[in-house]
Amino acid sequence: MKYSRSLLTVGFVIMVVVHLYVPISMIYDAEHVLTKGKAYRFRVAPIDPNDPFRGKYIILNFRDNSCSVANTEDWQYGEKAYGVLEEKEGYTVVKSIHKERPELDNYCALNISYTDSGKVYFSYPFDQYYMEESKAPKAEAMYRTRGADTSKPIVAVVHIQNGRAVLADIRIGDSTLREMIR
Amino acid sequence: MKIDLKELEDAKIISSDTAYAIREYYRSKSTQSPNRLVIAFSILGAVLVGLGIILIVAHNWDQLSRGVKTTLSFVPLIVGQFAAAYAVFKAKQSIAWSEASGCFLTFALGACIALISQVYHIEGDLSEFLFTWSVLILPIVYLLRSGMVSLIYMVLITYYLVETGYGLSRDAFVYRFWVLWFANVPFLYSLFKEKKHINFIHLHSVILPISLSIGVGSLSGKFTPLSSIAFMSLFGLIYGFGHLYRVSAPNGFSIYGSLATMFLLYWLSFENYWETLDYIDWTRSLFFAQTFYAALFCFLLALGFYVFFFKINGWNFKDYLRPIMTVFVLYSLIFVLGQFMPGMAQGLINLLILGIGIFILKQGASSRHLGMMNYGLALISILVICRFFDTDMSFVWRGLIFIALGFGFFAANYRMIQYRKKT
Repeated sequence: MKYSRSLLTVGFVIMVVVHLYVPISMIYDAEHVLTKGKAYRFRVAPIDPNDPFRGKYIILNFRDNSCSVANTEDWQYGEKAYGVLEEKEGYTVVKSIHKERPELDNYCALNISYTDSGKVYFSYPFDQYYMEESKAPKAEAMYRTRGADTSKPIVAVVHIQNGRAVLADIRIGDSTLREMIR
Repeated sequence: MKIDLKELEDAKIISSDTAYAIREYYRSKSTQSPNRLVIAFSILGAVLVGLGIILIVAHNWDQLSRGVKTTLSFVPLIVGQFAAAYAVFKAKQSIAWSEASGCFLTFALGACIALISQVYHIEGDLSEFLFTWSVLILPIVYLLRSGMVSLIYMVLITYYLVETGYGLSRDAFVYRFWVLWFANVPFLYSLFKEKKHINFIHLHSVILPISLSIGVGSLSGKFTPLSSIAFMSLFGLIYGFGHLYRVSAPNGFSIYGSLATMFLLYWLSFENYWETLDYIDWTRSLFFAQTFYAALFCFLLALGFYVFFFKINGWNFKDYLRPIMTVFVLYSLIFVLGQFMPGMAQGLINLLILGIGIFILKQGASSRHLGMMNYGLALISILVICRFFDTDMSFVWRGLIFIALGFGFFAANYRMIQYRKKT
């Protein structure tokens, strides 16, 4: 397999551009949503697994993870869906779920988990919060020792714009999770 | 073999021109031939540094601001790109440079994407990450002609398939694995054709069969029992490829093909399989099942391969036909029979294993090949041991049979060694 020098140069330049384009576009998209998107507050409960490549993160268990539907048989495990969001008692909940992208700004993507007694249960795609490796277990331990302290609920602040969501922070009362375990 | 060219030249056995040509040939060969140790250590170094960067990145430095973290994530990537540029445009002959810079760039890319995903908690799971990473490193395989990056690529796409193609998390993107797999075929073709990098060929001959087997496994859906035909045909094909592509006498392909075929045969030799078999409904719905087409495709591919194999070997079955080569055809017939007479099918599978064992044992004994003879003995012994699980034989009998098998091994090996000593 031999290439001419010009083909090699063109190929190499394209490769370098693509290699730089992919991470830069990831940064650009996320920054865009963080600055332009609206902030939503979801109630969560963290647990702590880890990922062999990307290090320690906290998995967020969202409290509001279901929605009533007319017919549960329309929804299958693993299916992609779109949830229209609304504010309820200061927190964000999913008002309705749809198969097609809604013509609104306040929606996000969802993955259907299961259905039960007239409700569809789902997971959010922004359920991983990466932390410094020594801090992720501490965060989980702190959550466990807090027990049923509901006076300061844990909230995931998620910026959303046109369905694209970026998890910005985890807040406990007035402070962030990072500040609390520093 | 050391030849004194001067002596041959003086004795007028070769001309001075020929002597010159021989000297030049070896001189150019010695400069071209890669120093394997240097290549191995450069790859090892690059892989370790690359993995080290990924681990450091995975620490997820909280003290650093978002801007600093994202900027830092590009540093290894840019260093990798410069190293790759040097390897491609300056150090053209150096395999060590190509391999080391290719490996480093591969890991730097993974680290860069991983760090950005961390910083922004970007949605997407491990499989999406593996997919993006694999797509991005494919050009490195071709531009740097790196055998090591090709290996990493095959491992990554196989890992991607394991994440997406199996169990409950099985998703609609399984086809991506095959697209990525075939995207690497032109490189593999040149690697196997040029036969320059024997070590990489050996490593690929282990990774490729594993990756193909996992790939075929992911194709099974409805009518799961049919996937045994797909697997048997694939193993037969891999075994045959090992005999067609003779880079070394037993190679990864032929060893894997043989062992995998026998393993599957043993599994099928149990009563359990045929008793609990989810019998095929031979109606129209069969023709809508993915497993059916996977089995048909693998079977026809293996059949076509062997037609080609024997055609180029002048239809010389005597010298080229091996028992493992026939298994996928025989098994397919037994499988169909098993739908109606499971007991008979199970019996035939046992006979097939026994036949293969005896054939290999006989072949080993007649060619005085100790390894082959023991392989044949082992095949028969495993069959006997397997049958212990099916029957209600008393422990005394089981014990006696084990002892007899053990003595059989001793006696056969002893006789063979004695015979070798005599001759």
